[in-house]
Amino acid sequence: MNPGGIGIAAALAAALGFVGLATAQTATPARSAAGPVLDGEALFKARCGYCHLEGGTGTMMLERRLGKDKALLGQRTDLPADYVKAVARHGLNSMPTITRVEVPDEEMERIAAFIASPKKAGRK
Amino acid sequence: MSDLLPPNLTASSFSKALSAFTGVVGAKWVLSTDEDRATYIDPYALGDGLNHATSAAVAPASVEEVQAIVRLANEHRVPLWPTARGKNLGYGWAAPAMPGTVVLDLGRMNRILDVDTKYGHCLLEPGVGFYDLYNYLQDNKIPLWMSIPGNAWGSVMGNALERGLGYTPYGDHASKICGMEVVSPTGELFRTGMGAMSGNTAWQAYQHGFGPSWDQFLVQSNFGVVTKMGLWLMPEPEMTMQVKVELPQADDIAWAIDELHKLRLHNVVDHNFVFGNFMHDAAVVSQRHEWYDGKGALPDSVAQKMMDHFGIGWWRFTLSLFGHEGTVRAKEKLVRQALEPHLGKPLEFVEWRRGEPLDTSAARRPSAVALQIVNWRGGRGGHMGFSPVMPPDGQLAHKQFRAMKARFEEHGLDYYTSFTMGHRHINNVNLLLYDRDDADMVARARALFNALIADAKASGYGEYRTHLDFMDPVAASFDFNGGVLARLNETVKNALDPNGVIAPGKNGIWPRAYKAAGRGEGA
Ligand SMILES: Cc1cc2nc3c(=O)[nH]c(=O)nc-3n(C[C@H](O)[C@H](O)[C@H](O)COP(=O)(O)OP(=O)(O)OC[C@H]3O[C@@H](n4cnc5c(N)ncnc54)[C@H](O)[C@@H]3O)c2cc1C
Ligand code: HEC
Repeated sequence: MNPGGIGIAAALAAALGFVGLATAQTATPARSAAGPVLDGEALFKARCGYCHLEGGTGTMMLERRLGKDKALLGQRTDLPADYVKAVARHGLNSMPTITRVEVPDEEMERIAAFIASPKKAGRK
Repeated sequence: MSDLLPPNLTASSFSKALSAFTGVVGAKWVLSTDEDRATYIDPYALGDGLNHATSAAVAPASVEEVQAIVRLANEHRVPLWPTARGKNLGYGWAAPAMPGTVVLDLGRMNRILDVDTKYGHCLLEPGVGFYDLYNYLQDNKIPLWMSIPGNAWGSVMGNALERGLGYTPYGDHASKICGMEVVSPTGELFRTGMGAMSGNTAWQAYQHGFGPSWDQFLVQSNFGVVTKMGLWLMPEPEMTMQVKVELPQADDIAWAIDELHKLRLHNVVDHNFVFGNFMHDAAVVSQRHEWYDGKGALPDSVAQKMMDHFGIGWWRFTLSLFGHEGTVRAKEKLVRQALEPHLGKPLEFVEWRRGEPLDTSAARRPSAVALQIVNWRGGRGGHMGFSPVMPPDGQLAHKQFRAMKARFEEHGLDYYTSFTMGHRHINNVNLLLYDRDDADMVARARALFNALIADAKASGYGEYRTHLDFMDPVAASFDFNGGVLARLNETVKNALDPNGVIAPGKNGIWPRAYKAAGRGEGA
């Protein structure tokens, strides 16, 4: 589903029409309209991945504010599910709000549970 | 958030309307809690955004549900604001022009109904995002390329309905629309173009029908709710070449626009491209405080330090050539002839041939990383686009650039601009970047925006698209013959939408029912 890694240079070029200035990798999230029920991780990638995979604006801002180890939301183990849900529904700094049409409650529960889960530590 | 009702309704009549909507879509899809309503407030608003607060959102899942909601809206006199994915950042997000309008969120209608590989077109529902279509084409190995805006979080249809821009030969999105299905403001279903004939086989092949064409009438308008849109996609070319060009001096804009105009006019370069200043990338990969802490606009000396640090020019652009090898090679020669004498060095093109990995091609992938620019100032960042259309002339562009830069500096905002080159025009897309929590900066940004509308008008330029806050003043600047076009729009609006239920105030078009309630609110 994911068309592979894409350099931030390429991402910036795509976004802005220019050569980029940094070299980190970013990925393209998949967001399938129909299809099988997605698990928390797949939903996270599909709904939050626009900004929270490598090279995304969420990743960049979390790195600036909290440091490199806390930059990738999908690898965090320190965030309670309720906090994740609250940030998603209310926004935070430049993170826009996520409507219930974009991500309904039952999906948000699975995403928050995935982010809150300690088991995925170190996993990508 | 305090309770908010649509104009002319009482709490009890509104609550009856919401119950009626619930009967159609189910309770889950009538969103009226404070938390839900707040998710529809523009996250980049100049100020708190409550001047465009919604009273509720309703999210149908089918054409029949849209029709039923529109009919009920007429019966209960509830104004609706249709939105596709509602990611219209920089222009108002999913929020309505008139406070209290119910958002008709079409995000659940997200099916890709058809992609025709042979003929190069697709048929989409409103909720299909750029990523959805991109992934679909990739997964199914369909050799059709998309044109994608800088913020690719949104909807293919929503963007085209705003006359959004991408950067391939198919980048003038509204011009690639081919056939729509629409729910009229009274709830009737119609199809435009050849689709008006049942069983017609060329709905997505021919942009007109028999008699007047209605597709463009639904663009930037409030004359209907679009439920399906045909769109042309670009067949994968045999070859592409791309070249990135840096212009070191601010005044290089004068010669460059003249040369680039000729390349565009003759279709040597056949795509829109961003001719943008150094701020574009700098604001993604760094923040202002890393360079400068002063209150006023970024001084030129600091700008020069940034350019030196990143090794970039004052102006930057990327040209791409698409087509068969013979065509691309011939175009390459013409681009070299036009630009190299000015640059004093050879251009370095990157080549791609069909079958090679797309990374080196001029195909575009969706990305949302551009949203990072709103963090330039820190705090709760926001931005608004001010985008007048002007002729593609070097001297005029130079004059416009100097005047705009001075205006930004006068208001203490950093000058972020692009002279985006269209076929026969420039979209001069300027971004006002601000910290929403800094009331003084927000006030300066608003004052700047108003000054720019007046400046553009004085120069004979009008905006191609604008934020909700400024739809009325921008509409008013189109004032030929006493604003006769606005009166025509209103006449049509009132005829098609007697209760004024679809998107009152969109692009300054106010139906009779809300003329008093709506005018004067907002900006
Ligand atoms: C950093 C940044 C870069 C950007 N770069 C670009 C760019 O390069 N090019 C560009 O074009 N834009 C750009 N934008 C602006 C904007 O974010 C995009 O245009 C985005 O695609 C619009 O959101 P959307 O597609 O979800 O449309 P929506 O928000 O869903 O729709 C936009 C409007 O169209 C109308 N509409 C939508 N659906 C319907 C319907 N079914 N029936 C009737 N009316 C309807 C409504 O009035 C709605 O408000 C950029 C924004 C930012 C922040
Ligand atoms: C449009 C981009 C965007 C999308 C989409 C997005 N986010 Fe974010 N998110 C951000 C940004 C930017 C930040 C950093 C805000 C800051 O701290 O300045 C952030 C931060 C967060 C944080 C705070 C983490 C912390 O350590 O405090 C959480 C939690 C979060 N996002 C959850 C989500 C979830 C869940 C989704 C998907 C349902 C999502 N985000 C989708 C942009 C986005």
